Amino acid sequence: MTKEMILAIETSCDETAAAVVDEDLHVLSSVVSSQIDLHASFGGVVPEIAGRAHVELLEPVVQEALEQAGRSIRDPGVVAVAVTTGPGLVGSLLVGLSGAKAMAYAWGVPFLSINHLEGHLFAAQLESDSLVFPYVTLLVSGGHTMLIGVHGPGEYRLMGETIDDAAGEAYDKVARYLGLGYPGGPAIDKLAAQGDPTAFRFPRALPGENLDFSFSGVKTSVVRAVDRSPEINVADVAASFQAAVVDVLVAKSMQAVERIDATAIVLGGGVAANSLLRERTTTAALEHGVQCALPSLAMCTDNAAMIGAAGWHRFRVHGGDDFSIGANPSLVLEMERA
Amino acid sequence: MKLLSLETATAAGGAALVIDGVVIGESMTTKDRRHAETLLPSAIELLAQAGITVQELDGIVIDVGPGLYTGLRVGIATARSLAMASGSGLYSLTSLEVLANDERLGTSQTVLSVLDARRGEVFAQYFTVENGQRFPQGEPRVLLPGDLIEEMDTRPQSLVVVGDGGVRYQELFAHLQGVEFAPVPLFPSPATAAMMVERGGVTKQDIPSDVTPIYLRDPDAVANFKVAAPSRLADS
Repeated sequence: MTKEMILAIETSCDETAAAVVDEDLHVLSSVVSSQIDLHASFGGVVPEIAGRAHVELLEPVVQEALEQAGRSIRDPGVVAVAVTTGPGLVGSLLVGLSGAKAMAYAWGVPFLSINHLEGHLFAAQLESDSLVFPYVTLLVSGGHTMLIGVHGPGEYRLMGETIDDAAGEAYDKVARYLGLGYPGGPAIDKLAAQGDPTAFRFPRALPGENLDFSFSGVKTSVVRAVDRSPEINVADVAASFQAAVVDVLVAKSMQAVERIDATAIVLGGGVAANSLLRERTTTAALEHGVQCALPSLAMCTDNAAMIGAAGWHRFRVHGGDDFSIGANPSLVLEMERA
Repeated sequence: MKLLSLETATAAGGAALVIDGVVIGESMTTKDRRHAETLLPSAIELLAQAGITVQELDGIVIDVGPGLYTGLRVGIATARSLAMASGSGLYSLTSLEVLANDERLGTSQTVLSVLDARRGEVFAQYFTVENGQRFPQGEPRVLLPGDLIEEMDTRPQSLVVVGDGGVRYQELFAHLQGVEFAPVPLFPSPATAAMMVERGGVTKQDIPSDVTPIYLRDPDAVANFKVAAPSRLADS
């Protein structure tokens, strides 16, 4: 018997994405149309440019995802349509939301309102059948830096989060300051490989038992160091900055793992593509004797397959959402604060 | 024809169902920036009241602007997705032509459609009458109300100004002879758009995803960038 399928759509920021995910969370297709080139000249995502690109790309991307799954927009064969309704850029969210509702209605299937962050929490399950609850997810991107205890599907405890900049935001700001372009994460990661991570001792914020993060201090220290010596070795700065950020991320992740006796550490979000973070998390997990789940690079960054995985969970425990639901740019993920 | 018409170009959005030239229902709301929440439920209710399904529609009609950008994208994404997923035809009209063709205006005079474009500007276009039908003069434009009035000084004819942009800047027109202001409509009506399709002359869009908003302005970042670094933009 053929498996049931969900179509998922994600347009919360600057990627127009659609995917088809089956009931066993197998990804039948995952199409991501990135707008990075459109925003690169501006050093960051420009909301109006993102909105314009989404409305051009939405249905072509959906058609491509359905066709790769062997279906079509007239004969989709899906049991529901899942879409990100927040958090994100409101003008971007509204495009995917409007299209998803209309398709779900025309096909006579439920529409599912999905929190983007919950998508990131489900991304690991698309690639790892062996994850056992509870585990800790370090969700780290341009918009978020959170340590979340995942005790079951939909059972989350927020263990720590950034009190100022997100880690990815710090990467982008430092990269811009160093003249490395946008997006900053890959640029710094690449340059850091040629630098000395011990050249500068940038601060590791909020040490001790606290699992919250702060990245504004390290960003300011980088700026001061560069201002002091304009002839500075940029590769050394990049490597030392990256070492400071990753040190804190890995140390607090492992504290979180110990605190809830987790079986695994899972990375999610765009910064999870960072090579040093992946390497150091793998090593630390080995030392702690826990599993380490590193989603593929495609699953770290924004995609619709993860929204499909979260969609299956919502479909099973909640059913369809009302067509009057709007986008919520500051949508909060329901979590206990641990 | 069975036509579902969607309108989101201005603060007043909504839907209308027109069957064989009869307006079965029109549902409008002026809750600004809530189009994404109200549009589809309004359409569903109209279809339910008439007892027809989206698959039975001959066409989806959509206003592609010019208008408020976020609203336009909500309407166009909804209309295109409905049309593609159901196999219905898709028809697109501009906000300014829908305004000019509102039957409450009659067909005796030239119409100047003016919608508030925010930021002190208006979207505007002239429509003349020939044999009881309206014809656009030139393309939709975005400009300062003062510039629009300056060029009207050289248009010695009577005309009717229609739309919320005209009302907002009405005092600027005060010195002009022969200019009337239509009290209604302030905004394009989805029922009018559907009636225009019903009467013929609106081409069905063969490729729904080619239907995109009429913006008339660059995004702010691009506009600023062109001023600050024209050469860099040309290179990119």
